[in-house]
Amino acid sequence: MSLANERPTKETITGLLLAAEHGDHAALEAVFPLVYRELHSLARRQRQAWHGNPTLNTTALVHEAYLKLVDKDRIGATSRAHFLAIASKAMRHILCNYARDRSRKKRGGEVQQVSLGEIDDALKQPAFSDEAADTLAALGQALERLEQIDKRQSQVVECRFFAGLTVEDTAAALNISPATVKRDWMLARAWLYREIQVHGYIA
Amino acid sequence: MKPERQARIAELFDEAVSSAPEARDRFVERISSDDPPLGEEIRSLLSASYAADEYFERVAEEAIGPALAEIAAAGDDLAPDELRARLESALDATYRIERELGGGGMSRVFLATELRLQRKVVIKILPEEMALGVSFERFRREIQLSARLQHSHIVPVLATDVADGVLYYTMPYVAGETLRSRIAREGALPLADAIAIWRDMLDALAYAHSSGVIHRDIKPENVFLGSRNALVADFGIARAIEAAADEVNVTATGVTLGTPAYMAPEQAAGESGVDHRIDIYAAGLVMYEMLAGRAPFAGLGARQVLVAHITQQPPPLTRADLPAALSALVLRCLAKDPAARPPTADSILHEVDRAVAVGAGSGIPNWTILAATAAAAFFLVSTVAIGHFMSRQNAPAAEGLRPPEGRHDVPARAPPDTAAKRLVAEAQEFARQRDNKSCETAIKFYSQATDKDPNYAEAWGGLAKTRALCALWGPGDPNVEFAAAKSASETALRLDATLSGAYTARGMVHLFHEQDWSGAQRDFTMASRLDSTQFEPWLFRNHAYLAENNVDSAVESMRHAKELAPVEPIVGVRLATALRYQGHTDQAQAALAEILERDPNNLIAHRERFEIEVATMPCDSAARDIRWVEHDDHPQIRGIVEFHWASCGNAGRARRYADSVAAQASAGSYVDYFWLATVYAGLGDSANVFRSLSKAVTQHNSFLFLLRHHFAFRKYLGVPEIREVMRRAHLK
Repeated sequence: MSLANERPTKETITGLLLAAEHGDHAALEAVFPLVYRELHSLARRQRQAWHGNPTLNTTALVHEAYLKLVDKDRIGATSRAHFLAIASKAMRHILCNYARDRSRKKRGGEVQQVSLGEIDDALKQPAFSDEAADTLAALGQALERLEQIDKRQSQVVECRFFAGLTVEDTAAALNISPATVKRDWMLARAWLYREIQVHGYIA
Repeated sequence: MKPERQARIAELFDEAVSSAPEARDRFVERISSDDPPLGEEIRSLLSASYAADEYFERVAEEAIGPALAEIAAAGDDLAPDELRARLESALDATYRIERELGGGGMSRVFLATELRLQRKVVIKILPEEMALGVSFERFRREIQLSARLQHSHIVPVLATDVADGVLYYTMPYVAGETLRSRIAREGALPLADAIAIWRDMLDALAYAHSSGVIHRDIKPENVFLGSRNALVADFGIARAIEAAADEVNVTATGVTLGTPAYMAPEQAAGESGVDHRIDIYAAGLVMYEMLAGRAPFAGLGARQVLVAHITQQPPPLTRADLPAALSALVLRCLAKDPAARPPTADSILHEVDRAVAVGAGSGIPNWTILAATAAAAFFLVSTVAIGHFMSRQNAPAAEGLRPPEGRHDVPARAPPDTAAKRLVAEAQEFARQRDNKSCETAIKFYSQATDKDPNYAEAWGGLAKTRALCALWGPGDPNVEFAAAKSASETALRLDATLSGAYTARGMVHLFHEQDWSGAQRDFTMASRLDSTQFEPWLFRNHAYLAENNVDSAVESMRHAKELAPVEPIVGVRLATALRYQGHTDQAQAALAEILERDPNNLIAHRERFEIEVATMPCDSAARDIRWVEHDDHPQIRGIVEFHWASCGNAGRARRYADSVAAQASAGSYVDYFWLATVYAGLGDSANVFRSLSKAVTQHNSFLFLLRHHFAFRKYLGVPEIREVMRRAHLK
């Protein structure tokens, strides 16, 4: 996205969040594709190496998107919570879709190119192996099944795991108590793990 | 599922996880007696939750972070339609864009008609980010050199320009497909086709190299299969981009240098001053892929492939119709050391002729010999080793395998430095003692030897083996030690691919760190074949057999080791261990008695006897040998001692020990989870047994091969949680 596009997006998203706060629930649905696109674009523009805690990096992205897309002088806690929930969902879909596509490309067929900077990091950085792509794609599938059975649990996974939100931020984003977040998080992980073991990885 | 039931499950699960481990089983029992399916559901969720923690940590670490890094590396290119629209309007007067051809990687490729000449051309666009960073003038100058190439197997560059900020170059359109799409469709190609295509490629390379142009990005995507022959495209483009980027000093920001899957080791290592031999390596890879249907390191991520090119030997080519000389030739192109590759593309062409002629001419096809060797499991190991073997032993006889002539000759290996030799002799003395103090001293001496003489293969091999042993017994982080051991063994094998000890060392890394049992077997086979007097390959093979749940072969291996080294204590002790697993406790005791008769204070024999006592005897008899082990702080020994106390009336002590280890773990220290699990097993704390074993798998614990056989875990073997652990550890 070029600089010229930023202001309208910020205006639009802030406006939609405010509309939702005043009862227009359809407005939130319109926010999702915008946030998805912006977050994806932000992720693609990160040039630094991703060292350290991986979820901190997704958290950083979500917060960067927040600063960029929301006029925080105009919105309150409710809209912030809405935004975090939507951005978490977007984060999940960006990562899972990417893993799914990677997983589908047949091994060895697709060529990737690297730059000099990356070669320096080659020995230090973990690669996104085909196996890891399969694993993440399988998690994405299992999460879709969980979403049908218990939507709230799947949202907790989006916030806690994919966006790395704290228990408190997750509770605010989903409008539930922190104790419920902890409980859902525990059960959802066990459920997802079992689901993946039972159904295996996608080929 | 009904929402009420879902809520009920959530509630019961929560209650179960928050209750103490002892109470948990009773709680679930109670649910089961009222509502068996509900109890089963809770039970299965509970058992999943033990492994789920680890699993999500692993996904975060191995998938989320790397996926983000890869998304970032893909860059924020222009939207496809946007780029095409810009290109169309900028080139409006000269070209008509027909359609997009499948672009590889970052660059985009269009089919167009050049209006003035009414001919079809291919337009390749460099990524926008790259076009911004390069100096177009420099790019144009560089590309002039390759634009001069005129050859029937080369696709020439026609023109290059910048249009509306888009840097592009054009080339003639070749009707047909790329080698990539043919391999993708067919897999391995018929031998005659592969040879014909390779010849054309080599012919093109020979000509370009003699004109001073290195391709730098040879890969199946750049080989076009025309109606009659194969053509190589994109000569010199990689170099032009690099040079143009250098000029404006932006090399580090994302300029393509090549394709990891086809990068020569020296290129992957980022060495400067690479020469035409990187093309020879890549041509070898392409031939390998045509013959095998897949690249040697297929299935790895971009970075892992780079590392593999530097450190790993490709798996051998195993086609029945492949003449041995041709297989050896391809593998020689893949030598890590550029000097060990055939010196020129021309020389490869000659060898191809000869290899094919020999394969067709002799009464006995070469491949029958090859197959026999493969059956002996000899061929299965390092392909370079075979090249080495042949060039070392049969060089005068086998014309085709003689080292290349001229300045590319492989230098004769100089005899090792005398000081280095002395250090190695010293180190070997210490290494034999097998305790953590001496193994550290041995490492010190070996390292000094490799510093003095970096080409001294035996020193690297000894260093590798000792590091692997230290990883088992030493105080350091095994992950670090095993990585160092592996890298030292690879160095040793690069220097001398016939060094038995280096295979033993690498096999130990496979066995004790990677849970790659078959890889370990292959290396130990090679090690004992290269030096049949060594007992160590047999000693460690015994462990690999235990991992494969083949106790009889484990005992056989140890008997063989005993023939080779009748008085070596470790051999007698591990023979006893294997016999114990086989159920022959009396024979095990006899083997230990023999050692203790020679050396009544032999510590490792007493340790093993203590294990037999704990495993098979009542509590008071087990105490017989405890004084030999109770002050030993190695986690393996403590594991058994505390297991003993846990089951023999001093559970409090064992629990305190387990708690202290857990506390060390939360303080960030390395903790051996396998042996911690034995303590929990003694305490009957099954939740922590499962949790610890699951962590043992994640940490690549060295002793996982024992899981099926260790007495501590006997009662858990059929349990789903343990089956899951075994599956993850590749245990049958």
